[in-house]
Parts: sequence; C-alpha cells; structure tokens
Amino acid sequence: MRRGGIRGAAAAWRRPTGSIGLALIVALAALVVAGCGGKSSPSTAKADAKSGSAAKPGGTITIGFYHDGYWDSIDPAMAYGLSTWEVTRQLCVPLVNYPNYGGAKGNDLVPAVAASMPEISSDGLTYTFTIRPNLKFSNGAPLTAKDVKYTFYRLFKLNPDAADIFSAVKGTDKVVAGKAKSVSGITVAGDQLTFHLSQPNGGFLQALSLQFTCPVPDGTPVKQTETGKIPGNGPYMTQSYQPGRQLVMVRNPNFDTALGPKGNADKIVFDLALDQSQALQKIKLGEIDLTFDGLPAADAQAALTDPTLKGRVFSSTSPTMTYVWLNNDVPPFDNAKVRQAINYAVDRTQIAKVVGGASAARATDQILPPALAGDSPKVYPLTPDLAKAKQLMQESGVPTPVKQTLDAPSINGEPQIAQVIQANLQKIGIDLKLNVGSATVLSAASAKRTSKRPAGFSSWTQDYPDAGDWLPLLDPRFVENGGQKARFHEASLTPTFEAIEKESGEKRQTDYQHLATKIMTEYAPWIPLFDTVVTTATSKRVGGYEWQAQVGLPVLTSLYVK
Amino acid sequence: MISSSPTPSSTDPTAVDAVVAPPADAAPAAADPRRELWRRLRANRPAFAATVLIGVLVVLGIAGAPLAAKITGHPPNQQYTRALDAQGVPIGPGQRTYKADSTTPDPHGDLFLLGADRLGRDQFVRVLYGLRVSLAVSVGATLLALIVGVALGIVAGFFGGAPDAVISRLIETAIAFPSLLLGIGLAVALGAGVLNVIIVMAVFGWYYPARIIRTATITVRGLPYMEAATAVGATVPRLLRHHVLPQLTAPILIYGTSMIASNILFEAGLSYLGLGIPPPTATWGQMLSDAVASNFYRLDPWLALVPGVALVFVVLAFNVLGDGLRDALDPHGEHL
Repeated sequence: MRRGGIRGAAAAWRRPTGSIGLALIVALAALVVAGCGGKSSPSTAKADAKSGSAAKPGGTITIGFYHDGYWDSIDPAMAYGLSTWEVTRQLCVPLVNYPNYGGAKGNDLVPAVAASMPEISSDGLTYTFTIRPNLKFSNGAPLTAKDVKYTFYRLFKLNPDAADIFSAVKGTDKVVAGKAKSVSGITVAGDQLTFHLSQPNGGFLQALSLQFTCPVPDGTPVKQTETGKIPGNGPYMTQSYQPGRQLVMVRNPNFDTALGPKGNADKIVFDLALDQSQALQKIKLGEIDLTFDGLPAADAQAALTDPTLKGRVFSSTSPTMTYVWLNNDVPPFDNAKVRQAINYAVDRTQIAKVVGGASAARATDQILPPALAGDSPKVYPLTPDLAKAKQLMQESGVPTPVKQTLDAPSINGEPQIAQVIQANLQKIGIDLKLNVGSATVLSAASAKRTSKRPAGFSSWTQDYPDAGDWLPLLDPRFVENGGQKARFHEASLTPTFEAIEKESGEKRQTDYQHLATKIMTEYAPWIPLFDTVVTTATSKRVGGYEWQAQVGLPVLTSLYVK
Repeated sequence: MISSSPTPSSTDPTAVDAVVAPPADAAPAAADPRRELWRRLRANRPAFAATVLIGVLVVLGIAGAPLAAKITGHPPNQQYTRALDAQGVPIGPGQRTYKADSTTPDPHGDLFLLGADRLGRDQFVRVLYGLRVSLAVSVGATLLALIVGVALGIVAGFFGGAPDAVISRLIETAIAFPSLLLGIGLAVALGAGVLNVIIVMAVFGWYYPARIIRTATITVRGLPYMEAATAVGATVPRLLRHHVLPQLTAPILIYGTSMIASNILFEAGLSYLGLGIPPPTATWGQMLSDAVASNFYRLDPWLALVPGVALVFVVLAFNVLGDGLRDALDPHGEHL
C-alpha cells in the first residue's frame, strides 16, 4: 500500500514451505511483544479458557474505526487501505486467500474460489484454475469462471494502479487504454480459468489474494460503487451503509463454508465516526467491542497495565514499516557514505520510544518486515554508533557542518520523530531544518520526478507477503515515474532485480533478502525506523480475538459474543 | 484651551504656540499625565499585579530562560534519552532520569524541575524559552498591526471623503473574512518561521485598531481646538503630531495590550496546528500539541499543564492590564 510506479513482471512463485517458518516468527514476535507489554495475553484460547466461555454463534459485534483514519472505498476494485480491506474481507473472497484465521492456521495461501491451487506451466506463463463448484453470490446467482474473468476487466478499467500489479497478464494494457472489452490474457473454458502471462511473475499467486480480485457478477457496472451492495461471496453482506457514520453487515445466506469460516456474529456494525481519544473509554463501557486501528499510544500503554482489561488487550506487529527516504540526487544525500553515516547516527530505539514504546513500534534497520526479513543480518545498530558515523562522514569528503531540510508531515508523531533525527544528525555535522507541513502537500511535492525535496517520511504496508512487494520501492527502473522518492538509481542492480523477479519459491525470498541487505549496506537510500505494532482491546462481552498476520488485520469472523 | 491673548498673525508659524501656551502668570500646570496614569494603575490592585507580573515575565523571557538553562545544565533542545521510560513516558516534575535500563530511577540522574517532555527535554527550561517566543511574536505582530491600523485609521478619520470611503470598505471587507481559517491558509502558504507568523498575525489584526482609531480621529477632528489650530495655520503634520496622536494614545495602549493577549493565543494556536515556529524551537502551542498527540497527556498531565497554565497566566495578565489601563486612562475616572 502507498505504492507508485509500474511493477516489473516476475517469475511464477509457489509459496515456499520456508515461509511458514517466517510466518511463525511473526506470530511468535506478536506473542513476545504482547508478553513484553506484560499484562495481556494474545492467545484468545487462553483467555477464553480462563473465562470459561467458548465461541458461539449469534449476536452483534461493533467495530470502531477512527473518523480521521484512512478510508477510501468499499468497492472491492477500488479499496486500497487496511481499513477498507477489513470490510471487503467480510464481503468477498478471492481466488486464493490468506484465510480468516489467526496464528499459523492463517499463514498459508490456500485455494478459496479456486477449488485447488493452480496448475502452473513449466515456463511460468500460464496459471490454470478450476473454479469451485456450486458457489453463489449473496444474491443467489451462481459464481462462475466468467464472473472472475469479468472481475479483472472491471478492475483494470476502474483502477489503473491495480492493473499495474497485474501488468504481466496479457491484454491488461489494452483494457487500461480502453481498446479492449475484455482481458485477452484471461480465458475461460467451462469451470476452468486460465491466466496467460507475457513473462514469468514470481509474485503472481500472492497478488491474486488481493481484495481487488474479489469476484463480482458478470456485467456489474464499470463504475465505482459505494453502496456496498455489489453482490459478494463473503461470509457477510452489506445491510446498510452511511459513509462516515456506520456500515452494517449481516450474514450472507449463500456463503459457502469451503471459502473460509462463516463467522460467529449474526451482525457486524462498523462505527465509522469513532474519536481516537474516546476509543478506550468506549471499549470499557462496552459501546464498541474492538477498535480496528490501534489505540493511541498512551491509551495502549494504559490498557496494558489496566487490571480491568486483563486478558483483553492484544499487541500485534503489523507488516507496516516507517522510514525516511533520502533523495539520492540531492547533496549531501547523493553521497553513499553520508547516507551510511546517517544510518549509524540515528537512534531508532529512542524513536520507537517516542512513538509509544513496545505497544506502538518495534525499532528496525531492515527494509523487509520481520516475517520476510528471515535471517537477514543486522546492518545498522538500533542505538547510535557515533564513532562509526563520524568516521564515515570524514570518509565521505563532505565538509561539515552541512545544512539540509527534512520534510515532516504534521501527523502520526512524525514531527517528534523528525526532531530526534535532527538532534542525532547534528552530532555528525548535519544541520537539518524541519519543514513541518500537510502530509498531502508534502507527499505530492516529493512524488514529482523532478522533485528536489531532500528527505521525507514515508511508510509501506505490505500488500501481500512477498519480498517482491517491498523491493520495487527501491527498484532503479521505477525512478522515472516519481514513485521512488529516494531516487535510488543504482543501475548496476537492475540485472539483479530483473533476475529475481523471475524466480520463485524460497530462492526468490532469499535472493530478495540478500538484495535488501546489500542495498542497505552499500547504498543506504533509506533510514528504516520502525515496524508498526497495533495494540487494541476488546470489550468484556466478546471473545475470540485473533490476528491475521499475513494481511495485518484482526480476524472478525473469529469474534463472538460471550 | 484657547488663550485669551490677542490673535497672532496667521502667517507666523510660532503664532500657534503663542496661542496655546498658557501665560507665565497662569495657575500651576496639571500633574504629569504619566505619573497620573501610574498612580491610577497602582490604585487598581489587579491591574497593578498584572503589570508587575508582566514585568517579571519580560525579565524571565529575556534573562530567565538562558539563566535557567545554565543553572539546570539543560539546554532547551537537548534530548535526554533517559528522561523517558522504556515505553516513552517522560519523567514528571521533581523526578530524576532513569538508569540505562529505562526502568530504574537513577538517584544521581539529572533532576527535572517540571519534568520532561516526550522527547526528554526539560519542560521548565522550554516553558521559559516558549515565553520568549510568545512575547516576541505577539508584541511584534501587535506593533506591526498597530502601525498599519493606526496609520490607516488616522488617514480615514482625519481626511474623510474618498480616503475614508476606501479605507472603511477595506476594513469592512477584512472583518467579513473568517480570520482564523484564512490565517491558517496564509500560514500554510507562507510556511513556518518567526517573521511569517508575525506577518500572518498582523495581516489578520490591523483592521480592528484601524476602525477604533478612525472613530477616535473623527471625534478629535471635530473638537473646537482643532478648528482653531487649523484656522491659525497649523499644517497637517503638525496637527496630527501635536493634536491628534496624543489623543489616540489611550485607545492605542488599551487596544494594543489586549491585542498582545489575543496574539499570544493566536500564535499558540498556529503552533498547535504545526503552522507556527518550526520545531525544535520551544513554543507553548507546540508543547501543548505534543502533549495531546497520541493522548500522552493522560499518562503525564504535566505535559499539558505546564504550557497550559503558563499560557493562562500570561494571557490573563495582559487582559487585566488592558482593563486597568482603560480605567486609568478614562478622563472621567475618579481621582483616587
């Protein structure tokens, strides 16, 4: 999420068994973080065992969403945010999915609308799925291969950015350009659906798990629909929707449990007008049962030590990493040694504290999130090594003190983080002036290809668990379209990027890990700061909280009213 | 007062002085107006207390801030990592920093009189440096707004006619705009910085004094002695300097004082929104904003109390002083 630019094609990729271990590490990390918080158990079963309750169907669950949080669209073709993906995950299920289970059970990519994982040709250019029989949409209409084919046509017409993700599928560009009425690279033969790629794409299967690809009935209007009434195949369907106020879902009577768990609650109410400052209080009063977004840092800390919330506070690492990009075209950040020096000087541990401690952030020096970084070595220390930083500054040949500017959006505590960085870099002779301003304005200014904005904040939330979803942010081939804010244009790495794209399996992940380590060690175009930790709490009346680590979302179908 | 002396020649520029100067054997002159003002102010206890407080604040702002930094050994922007616990919660008033584990208080650690902020900076030192910023920016903006407002008000009130029509329409138009929203927009456009903040505040502050001064000038313009002065050939600059401006001192002082108070709040508001003085410069608005972000003030109320109480006291002092000046400068006020 928050991507830009044209993605290159990649090789066919089957989910390697090694990544199960990686995913387990994420789940374990979540347990450790929650344990460090001291007072909460992330294990729902444990909590429920203590309370003596068991999952049972029925009742209504209310989920709070912050009114000033991110919310773009509930049209599956347009939704591109964790919040709206949480909504669409209840309304629809794609061809393949990370299912609605927490822990290890939700770590694997499994067939959903597809009856089984696809047959992939030896050259990685065709993926053939068999659509599960007897599936229906919420309106009772049968769900067929034709509907899935049409879904992709509608997606590419409505959402060119999403089309970019699937650019390897033949005919995508013609649909985007308005020159075709269907995607020529997707063929249907009975219940068989085949994707024909122009070149191997190692992340293609993972990309098919995106909510963008949720099937819609053939002939659904090709226009953004915000009623929530597009028939879906998920465990729930929309009953009513008032934008900015409330969205109510009820059970989908035509949901096929072969697609995943059907959910315990009969009704889910999304309160879309929640004020952050009231979230914890409302949970305690039982007015809402869960906040989708994490509690504000201070409230998260208070919740972790509140005896009345024992067993109901949960901390989980989200696959979101916040970093500072350094414009490789602007001095002194055009000097690799300076960038390395900066990475040695920044106090990531202090920054994680300022953000809110273990309940809000996990300091990191890695491009990839914990689940994908695997055994990647530490490149930079989490606390400053000033001696090394000063040595690198000397080696860089850049005379100090040197002045530059850091853009800091006035949101999410970034001005405070910027001040820590400013104080850190002052010690190595870099005087940063802070340009605090609107996130929208700063983001737009730095997105232009010709932008000379020197440095700024950004974050990336994983779309799907593949290192190939992260590294394109630093792909030299994508500098021209303005999406790559660091302007990292080390052309010598282009062949490496091109080669790894075509790989699959564990080799793909391992090679991406090595590439990420090499980029940070030798070039350091970014200052990775922290992975986001989401701490939330449930009300007394509900149990069954689980965290889907691969998509970074709470599992709503596991929640139940006690 | 028009003298009873014979009317001098209208061509003699010194004739005006001769007209208005009292004869040598006249009764003793009235008390010095400044001493009378001070006497009246002293008699008004709240206003006097406010005056003393403002005096103390000015001294604190000028000398107190660097002195506090020197005595405590804590520069205003120095971040003390051990002033935060492992969860990033800052130490409170009278507490010392932690040991390296960020959990165990260090009995020999740095003492923070009013606690630390979210970046581990000394709140006591920063609130004093914030006072400097508040006073400098608000006084600067007030002066600029008064210069513009008084000048335009005098022109409109003294000359009337077309100048008055134009300036009055300008004032009315400016008043009609939502100043806070436009102020925020202008602040975004100009960017952060002391001078930019002063300009923004002055742009949205000149029209009220202009209107007040215009009305006062019209009143003074109609007084008989003005007519007499004009009749004996006083030039316009002389009239303005010797006869109009002195009469406007009272409204300028009174309005200026309360304007400083509202500008302190305006600057705090802009800083709170991230549009004022850029960090890490200490400003009360920024300190409040940091406290409220992520609800940290709930864990450590001092984060908000320290700058909040300071703001209340300073604004109250200027407002009370303004009220006191209004009473003291009232020509119909009782001799106390």
